[in-house]
Amino acid sequence: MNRNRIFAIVEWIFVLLLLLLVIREDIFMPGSVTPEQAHRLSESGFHYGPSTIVRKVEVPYGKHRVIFLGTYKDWFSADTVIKRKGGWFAGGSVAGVKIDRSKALSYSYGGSSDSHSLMLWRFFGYVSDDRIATVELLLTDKETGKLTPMRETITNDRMFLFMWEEKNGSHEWQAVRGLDEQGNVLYEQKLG
Amino acid sequence: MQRLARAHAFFRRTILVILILILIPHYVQRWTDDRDRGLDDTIKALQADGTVTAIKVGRSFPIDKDTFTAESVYVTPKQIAIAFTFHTKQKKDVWSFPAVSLKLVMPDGQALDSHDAGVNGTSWGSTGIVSFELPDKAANHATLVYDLYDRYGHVEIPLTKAGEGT
Repeated sequence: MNRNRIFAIVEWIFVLLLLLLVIREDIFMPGSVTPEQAHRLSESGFHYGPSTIVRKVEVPYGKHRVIFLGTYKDWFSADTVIKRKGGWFAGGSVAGVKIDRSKALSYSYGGSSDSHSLMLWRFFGYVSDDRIATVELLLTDKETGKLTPMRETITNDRMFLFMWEEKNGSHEWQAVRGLDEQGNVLYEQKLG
Repeated sequence: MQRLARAHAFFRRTILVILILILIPHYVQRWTDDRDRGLDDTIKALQADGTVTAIKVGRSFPIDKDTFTAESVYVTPKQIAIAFTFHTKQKKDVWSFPAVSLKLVMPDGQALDSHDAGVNGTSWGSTGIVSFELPDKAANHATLVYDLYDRYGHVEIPLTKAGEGT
């Protein structure tokens, strides 16, 4: 074998090794291929779960976020994953919130904003009292004082999720309520 | 024939150079990210409290597939600070170690909540320091407890150097 040939083989071996490194280090795909995969990694990276996904919700404001409503033993969560350059990434709210069985419903909330002044809120929870058929979240517009109620019918998964986008601080939070099928208020918690 | 060989060599080396150019910035960034960011400063800041007794610990417990290690403990007249490392096998979407959830349980049962924690993410996990106020009753050891969701782990932490009394 002549020298050039040996050089060529050695260089190809180097090319292969470096290619392997590029793949191993996830340089071009630092995120996950699917939102589900990012959600699982987010939970295992936090040492929580794996939760049972009861609902997968695509956030309607921009198609870059997916929320996984889920329960795991005595906790519920609304883990959020975000699509960015390079795949899907963990986006917060991975931590489970304890279900308080002594209360008709347990809730949690969180906000996130994408650069500009708009805030994306999510208010979510788990219903323990099976008489509750509807959960209602009451907000008032700070400027007009107008009441904007949001309602969600509770199904077998017992979870609810409200999402809205607002100019930071433009709403006053009034209360969260649990109503029975006839519309009677069984539970009310004042907010704000 | 020679022309072909030259073209072949050019092609090969171009790929080689491109790959190197992709990898170098990646490793440089990783190296800068992993450099110790301020743990030494935190330990120096502890000296403001007075005499610092530094004790090596080096004990671990697993959390799922990952490993938490209490590296050393610093006892000052005002607080107990524990430096730790957290090694994870997962590469994507790893959260910083939730050090604020650590508790220090004294032999008499008093459980101390952390009052301060600093965590730095690295390419292999996190490093950090978590501090607790002094317990009501001094002791020569305590237990550092991780109890979050259904995961649990603990390590024994010496609070006095071997040979010294309580």
